[in-house]
Amino acid sequence: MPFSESIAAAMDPTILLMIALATVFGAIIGALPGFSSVMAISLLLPVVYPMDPLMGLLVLGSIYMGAMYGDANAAILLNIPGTASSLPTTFDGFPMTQQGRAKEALLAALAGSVFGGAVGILVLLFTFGALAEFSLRFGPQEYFWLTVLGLTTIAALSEGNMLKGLVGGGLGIAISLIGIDPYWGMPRFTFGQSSLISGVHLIPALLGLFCVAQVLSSLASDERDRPTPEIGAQKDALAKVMKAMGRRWDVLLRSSAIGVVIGMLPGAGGPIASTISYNETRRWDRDSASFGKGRIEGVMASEVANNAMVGGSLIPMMALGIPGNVNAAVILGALMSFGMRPGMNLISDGSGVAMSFMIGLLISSILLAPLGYFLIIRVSTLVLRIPRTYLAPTILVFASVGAYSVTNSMFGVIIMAALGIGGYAFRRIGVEAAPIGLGLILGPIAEREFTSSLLIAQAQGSYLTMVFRPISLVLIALCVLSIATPLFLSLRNKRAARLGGRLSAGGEAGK
Amino acid sequence: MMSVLEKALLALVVVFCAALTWEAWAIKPPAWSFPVFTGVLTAALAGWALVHSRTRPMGGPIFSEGSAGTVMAGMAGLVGYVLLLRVSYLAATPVFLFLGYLYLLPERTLRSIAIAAIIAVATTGFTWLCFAYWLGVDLP
Repeated sequence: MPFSESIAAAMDPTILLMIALATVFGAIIGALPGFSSVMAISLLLPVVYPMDPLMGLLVLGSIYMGAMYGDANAAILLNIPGTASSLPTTFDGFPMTQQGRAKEALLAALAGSVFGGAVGILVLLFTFGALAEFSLRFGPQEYFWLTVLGLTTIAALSEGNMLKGLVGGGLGIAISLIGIDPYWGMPRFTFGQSSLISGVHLIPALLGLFCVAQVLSSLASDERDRPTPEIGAQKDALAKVMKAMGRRWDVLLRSSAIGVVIGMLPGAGGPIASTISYNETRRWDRDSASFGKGRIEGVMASEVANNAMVGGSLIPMMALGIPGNVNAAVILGALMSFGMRPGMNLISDGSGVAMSFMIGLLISSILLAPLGYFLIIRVSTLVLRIPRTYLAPTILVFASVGAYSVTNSMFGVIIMAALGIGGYAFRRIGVEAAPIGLGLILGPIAEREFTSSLLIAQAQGSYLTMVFRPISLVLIALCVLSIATPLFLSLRNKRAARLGGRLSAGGEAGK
Repeated sequence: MMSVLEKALLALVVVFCAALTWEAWAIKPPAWSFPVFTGVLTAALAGWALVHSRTRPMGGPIFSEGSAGTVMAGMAGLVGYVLLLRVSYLAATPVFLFLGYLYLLPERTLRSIAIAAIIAVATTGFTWLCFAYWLGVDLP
């Protein structure tokens, strides 16, 4: 499809309306403390399932874009980060609210999100084709190692417990194996249950892991003391933000670059991007001591990187089929549910969906400016007043009906409930939902590529061909590095702590 | 205790992966290889985590103070809703929502109970409109 037709497809009035609605929905869910962007995307998976692929993908992408911005509102107004990504936003955002500059902080977050989001998507637009073309050099061996890399890096970064992250990833893959054997077409691992023959449907499973488990976690948290958010009047807020943006273009560019690069790395998501961006902005500033006391640059740095990460995380997902983070993984799951395959296929299939999707995301990031200014900031303030009382049961109902709708049977709801309760229990012991969900999504891809590479190796008469190929070797080295680095850092920290303990014990004995 | 839950869940993963590996042996090549590889590796990792957890002292409580009842009620409510949903969506949903709101209400006054009932009915209507009317889902 020519470029002009892709633009026309993304500019269709119905699609534009859906992009706007999805962006607002994402921003509102993102604003709720404890409810993440991945939950917002998962919750709408059943709704987009019957849609046309372009519209469905754009709805999910726009929710992602909106949610990454929305989480700043709670961070600024209540000092509660909507998600971990907006934690650095609280450092200067909340002090600004305490100084009566809440509106300025909210607009700085909005402007930063629009800038970062647009830059991230532009980088995606310009690099996707080249990376997808490079992916033509990949055979099944490389794709297998790429999925392993995606799993190991995300598991390795699992809340500081790599072993449990890897267990979660393995468990996700094991669950994805239930159903029909793709090679022989025979049922396997159904344990005598006929309902399991069709396998564990991805969407109810993701609803359970990311919505139900999240709701149960929110029930476990005590939030009775959540204060009432107030913005207050500040007439020159917009002018101050525009002035700051013009003056500190270095912050905008540096934070965008950090967001895109971090977003591209599998596993390194928003929290890392926004934290590094905030720290770098503070480090390069002449008055670094004033950070944490209400600097507008602090809010912008965090939010620019946060939203630039959206485009970055979609680059490896669309070009190679390896998601940069869990949000991108869920969108990958939707892509596969629509019968599409990432990589060069997205360009060569002639549908133009990939190009229209990226243009639509660019529109979403730009639309965020008027939507945020006139609507989201006000609505988020109201939404933050909704007590948990009404949210938790409502989300459970929406998720249950969603799970029913995609499978048209109660089995989907049972899967959702089982994985939701199980996912919550695993979360309690430190096995996060992200690696399990990734295992579920990447498991079938890993199996297909593993079996194909095995067959090629058998035909070539050597199993070493699965490993000894230039790109495979690089990917294997990256897998080893992703596991070894956290192990090395943990050992070094332990040794430092032990040494520190000995020194302090020696000092006390000396006294 | 947290440590008991940790051991039980990790043991469950080991058993599940062992069963998976056992069944995978019966599959004809080459399709058996990936499930066996996954089963053995995951069971080994979970086993390692289990051994690691044995060396640690018993952890703190599973739930923070006061939250156990709420989470358990949430789980029981969800299971009950799934069972009731088989019968009728329009009957099960408002009941589940109303009881859920009622349980989570910090203060139960006549006004808050009435509001909870209205929101429960409105939410049921909205989800029905979304799924049954617009998306054409044949709800039970």
